[in-house]
Amino acid sequence: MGRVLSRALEAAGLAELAGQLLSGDALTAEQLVRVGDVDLLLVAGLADTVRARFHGDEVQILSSRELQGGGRVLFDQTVTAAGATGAELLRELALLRLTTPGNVSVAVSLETLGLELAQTALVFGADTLVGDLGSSRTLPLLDGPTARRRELEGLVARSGRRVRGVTPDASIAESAP
Amino acid sequence: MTMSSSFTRIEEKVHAGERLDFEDGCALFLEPDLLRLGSLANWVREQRHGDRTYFNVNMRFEATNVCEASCSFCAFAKLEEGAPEAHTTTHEEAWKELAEFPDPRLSELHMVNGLHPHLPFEWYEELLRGWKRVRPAVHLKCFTGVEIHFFASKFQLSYEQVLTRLKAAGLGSLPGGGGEILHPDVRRRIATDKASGAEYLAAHRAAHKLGVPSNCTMLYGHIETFEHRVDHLLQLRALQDETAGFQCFIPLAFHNENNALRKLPEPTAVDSLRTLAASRLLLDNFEHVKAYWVSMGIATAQLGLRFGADDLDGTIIHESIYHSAGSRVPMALAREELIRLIREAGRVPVERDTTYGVIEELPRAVVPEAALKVRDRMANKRALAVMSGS
Repeated sequence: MGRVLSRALEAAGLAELAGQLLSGDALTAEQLVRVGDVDLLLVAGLADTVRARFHGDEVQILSSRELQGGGRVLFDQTVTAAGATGAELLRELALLRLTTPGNVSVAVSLETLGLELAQTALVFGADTLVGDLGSSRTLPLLDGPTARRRELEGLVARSGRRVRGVTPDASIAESAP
Repeated sequence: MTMSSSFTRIEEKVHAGERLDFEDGCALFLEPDLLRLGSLANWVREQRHGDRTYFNVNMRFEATNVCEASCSFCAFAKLEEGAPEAHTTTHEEAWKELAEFPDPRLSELHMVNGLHPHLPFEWYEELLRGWKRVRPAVHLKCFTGVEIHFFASKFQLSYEQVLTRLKAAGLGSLPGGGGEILHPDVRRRIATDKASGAEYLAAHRAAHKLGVPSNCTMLYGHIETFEHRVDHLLQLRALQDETAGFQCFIPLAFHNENNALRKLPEPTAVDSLRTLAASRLLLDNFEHVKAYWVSMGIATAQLGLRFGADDLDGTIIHESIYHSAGSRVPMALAREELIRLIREAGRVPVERDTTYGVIEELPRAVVPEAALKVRDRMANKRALAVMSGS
């Protein structure tokens, strides 16, 4: 967590919540009231800190069928109003991370969130991407599940993370070609 | 020095008001913690503008897509008149479009054109004069630095002569297009037959000296490296030190459809946010950094308002250059939608004119009752259909 975020947390009177979250405890409803409307990057910073502490930099890519495993919660964007903007969706995602025990994974759907927001979601608390790699709606740029998976691995790498079980590829690890 | 300690040093420099150098710029692009980078850029943005976020009611116009240049990233240009989809408007069509534009709030016409090999210079002057006749209050932001250079070369005029004549015809300012990447190693590979980086800057310098303000851009996410991006930003910063004529910097995301670079991946949302933040931090003498929604997508542009940007651009109405290269955003955004995007990012919408004069500052969003929001969240959370292991 950077100096700016740390200062902002202190200024917002939220510094003690970071300790609670890093011990693995989720925020209570009462505490959620305190963070519900604070600065978006502040909420994101808290969520990303929890994500990094309990789930590291690895990102899981799962099909909808594989999601039925255990220890995961899928972000349901219907918690927001219809037509919610990206900022609203990501705030709700970060709040879901904060109200979920640290050891429980938070997943987002590529189908419903779209690639652009799904990649950004990885810095707002998400550690798992869920989608059907055979769906053209999910990944429109390349054909075939293998190519789509590789495209997705590239997106994850460009967000500074790595796909679990995949050796980082230097050619896609950063956005400078 | 490790990346983290390097960034700590950068944070200290920014808070102390010290200027960042080339090495710092490269470290910004390599900083793995995007939120940390974004928070620092957001701090700078809020020091300058608080929550105020600018937009305008504008329209795009492309008088011709016929262009003698062959930039490898471009999907808009047609090499010659008569080619499929080549189009050059008539004066009457152009004047009618502005005259009949239905929104009385329209404050800006933004025109960018191909480098047409045959149109005389007088044709452009008359185009501007006609627009001023039909709607004199609308600011004409027309002709990129590349176009100004093209006119000077083609018609054997100096930049000053070109700009003086266009200004007399009604030109108000120059848009920022054509910056691409200024470094010659990149520019000679993607934009070999138009203004060089130095010529692009020279055209803007001349405009600023004549009192014609301008914007500037950087096309990122294609063959360039982070070092090229930093070099580009520092060249812009140096000119701004000299003239103070740039109003705004606009990073433009490369799109890969229908052009010669179609095998390259497009920059991602994270790269766009990183570029916005790094730009805000490096361009310490620029008042405004814009998250251009046509270029980076609506969701990312809105998030960009927390990563250093203070402007979303405008309603646009019919953009062709990005849409030719595969942009999937709408052709226009209603004024009300821009206001909603700004408000839902927690900012205060300010409708501006082209030179950042305030037309109307709107109230911030009414914050709903926090308790109600929480109750809804908790109820929805319990109702999640897919919840394993709990």
